[in-house]
Amino acid sequence: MTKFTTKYLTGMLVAIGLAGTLTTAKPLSAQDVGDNFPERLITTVVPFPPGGAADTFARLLSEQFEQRWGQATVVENRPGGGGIVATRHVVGQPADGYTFLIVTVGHAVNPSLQDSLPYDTLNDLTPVAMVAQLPSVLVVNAGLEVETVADLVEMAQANPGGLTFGSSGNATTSHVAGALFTTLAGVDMLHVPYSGSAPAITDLIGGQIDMMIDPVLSSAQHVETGRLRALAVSTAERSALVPDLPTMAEAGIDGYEFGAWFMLLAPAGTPEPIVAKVNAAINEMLKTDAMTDRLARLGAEAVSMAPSDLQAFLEAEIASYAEIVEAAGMKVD
Amino acid sequence: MDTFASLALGFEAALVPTVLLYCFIGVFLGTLIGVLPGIGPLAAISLLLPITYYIGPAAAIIMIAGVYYGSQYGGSTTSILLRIPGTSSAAVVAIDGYPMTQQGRGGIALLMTTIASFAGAMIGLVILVLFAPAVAEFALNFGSAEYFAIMLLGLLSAATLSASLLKGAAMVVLGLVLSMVGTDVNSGVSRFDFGFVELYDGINLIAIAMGLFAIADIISNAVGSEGPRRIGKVSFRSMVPTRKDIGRSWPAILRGTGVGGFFGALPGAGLTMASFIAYATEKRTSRTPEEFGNGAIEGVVGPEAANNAAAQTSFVPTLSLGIPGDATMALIMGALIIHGITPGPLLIDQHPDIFWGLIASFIIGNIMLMFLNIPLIGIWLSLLRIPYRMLYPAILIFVCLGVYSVNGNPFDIYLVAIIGALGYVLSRLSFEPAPLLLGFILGPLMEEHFRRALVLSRGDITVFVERPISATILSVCTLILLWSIWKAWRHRPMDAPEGTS
Repeated sequence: MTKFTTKYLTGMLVAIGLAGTLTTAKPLSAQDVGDNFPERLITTVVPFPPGGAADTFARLLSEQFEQRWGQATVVENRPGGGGIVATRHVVGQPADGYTFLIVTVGHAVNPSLQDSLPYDTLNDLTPVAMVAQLPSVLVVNAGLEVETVADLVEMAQANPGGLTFGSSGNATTSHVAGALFTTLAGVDMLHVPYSGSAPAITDLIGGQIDMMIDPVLSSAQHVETGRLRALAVSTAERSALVPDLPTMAEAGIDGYEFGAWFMLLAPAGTPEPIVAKVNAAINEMLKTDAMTDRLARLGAEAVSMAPSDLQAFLEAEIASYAEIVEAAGMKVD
Repeated sequence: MDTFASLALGFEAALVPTVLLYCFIGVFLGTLIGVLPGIGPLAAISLLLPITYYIGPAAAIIMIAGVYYGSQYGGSTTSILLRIPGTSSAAVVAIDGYPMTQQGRGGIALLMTTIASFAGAMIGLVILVLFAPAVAEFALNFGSAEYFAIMLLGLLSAATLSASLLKGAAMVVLGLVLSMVGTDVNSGVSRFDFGFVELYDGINLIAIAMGLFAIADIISNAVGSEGPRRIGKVSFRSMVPTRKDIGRSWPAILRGTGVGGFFGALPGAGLTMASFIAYATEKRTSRTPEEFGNGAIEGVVGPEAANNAAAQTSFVPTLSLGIPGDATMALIMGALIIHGITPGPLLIDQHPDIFWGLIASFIIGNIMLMFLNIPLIGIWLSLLRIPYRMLYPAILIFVCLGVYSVNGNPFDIYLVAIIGALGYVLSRLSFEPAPLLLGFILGPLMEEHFRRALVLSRGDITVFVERPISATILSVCTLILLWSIWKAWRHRPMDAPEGTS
């Protein structure tokens, strides 16, 4: 109680003092806003339920923020609607640097997937930092009689619409990765959406669905125990996480390149010094061995980018996914 | 390594004083949030998660798991004493627990639920240890068609909870209808939101539960339609169960444990469904089904054993397959992943200390919970000594806090008031609110599985009867339905004229 009272009185004095300075001196400059940040609770909104990759990255970042700045942080899960529910929520928050949103590929797919969005993807949000990239692997049920990607394509061609691929929901990374595969391989496979990766992997193990292209971590143990078979890695180059797997291009799918990325955004108009400060902090922490190691254990690789490059990256991704959506005939179904 | 040597290793990991302390903190917090209406294990674990970065993985997972199963002990307390379920899985306990309190047998109900919780959890634990891989393997046979069928069975059980099958079914359907509000998982389209942004994520479950039970009850009392509350003597003598109570309870505890153990092990079926089906099982197997709803002790201990057994066996899919059954389990799994440990088929081999430490902590935690909860009964009972005019403002405050804490949105408080009014009207028309709650919880899941089963079968509806497990469950559903209808039809002429038998 005493501690509280002291704190309260100090707060009052500071407030009175501040009010005094404000009336006499010039208003706080943008630089001061950046220097003083953070002064209160930072919220990171995750558009998925707890436990997934985006959620884990958000919690890792929050932990680092807390250690670095000694400021309390909170991770808020607002799942649903392929990330739209969370994004719309964040767009409506004050652009004061205390609300962030972690997004993944789905964010760049939604503009071409949905007829209309309750926000403007490029103008209502400002990119803050790139967090990580997650290579995916193409996995099939071990009972499916295919040993290579070529076998799978052959089977799918012989049986149009007969094979199924799962995803963790519409417009999620695994949906995009699967659609990109069917488009480039020229095959017709049925898309089955789930609510999250875990139930989809469960059904893949149980043989209810045939294939899925999902981040390394979600299937690694099942590949090791022989329930699932990994055929290829989704990135342009082989990944250090699964060095023995061929890339899609090596396996015969020319031009296939897909990596799930995780990016931190803030409402548009968030003060530039704050964006710069958070970006620098994240890039710095991504360089540490401890962080690289933790990311590797999550099946991820660290990627750093400046805020200015991020906007261009996002624009390029949106354009390229518009093509995939068009070619694959992906739509909300 | 045989099971006993492994368990010894587990106890070695779990009996470290700091780990023991975290285990206690976990189960204590679990009991507390279980008792507090509106605050569930999901919210509590989300809040605890950041703390787990700073402690070892074994201590972290043991504490978080403690909150999860500990909340199942506390959930029934307010259900029995005040007709306000602390957790949604305890809603069904109110049907017979609250009448027991009104008959002055609240102490017995609380003592027996604690024993049922402990027995259910312990037997569930044995199932977990001995059969985890086999159970997980069996669960893999469950596709969307099977889940749809099993949820239908759950809803049917819920419908038969009330005296009237028709009224029960009406409440289930009302629950399903309410669950349609919000963003559709399959398409991302927001349905029936009437332009309210707050309804994008659907109606808040806590608002439904608190409105139907707590607020409706407060309105009833204020209107005086329920008559004066009869609260029996609150002495320690009143806690001692009779020989008859014990004789009736133990078979119910065993049946409940069986039901709960099975449903808990199915990823996605959930604790609430386990307790509802356990209640329906008790009512159906009872020789005196007319006592149900008027303080039948089987209706209290059966579901209570079921949700605690389910709380233990729901670790089966998470630990042995790496498949979290619900959002709370996903969070527990996330806590391990953050520490670089991925739960799954290799967990037992790669991290035996974590796996067996967790199992050992379950045993320790449940013993702690038992000794924590029995002395607390006296304290909870003294709640009843508080005059209602002073108790209800406190209940209202807790309800508002609980509802508000979920989304931090005042909208939900208006919502709970509206649902409370609805709940009052329904209770005046003698509709039982519990079936609505299960319909609301299972609605979105059922829809998702139904649509996915049809996508997989390319629109062929016969998939539900072609798959053997699904066909079996659906036949059971049909039998239950036919039996209920037949019984209703047979009882009709017997009720009207006297002296048929």
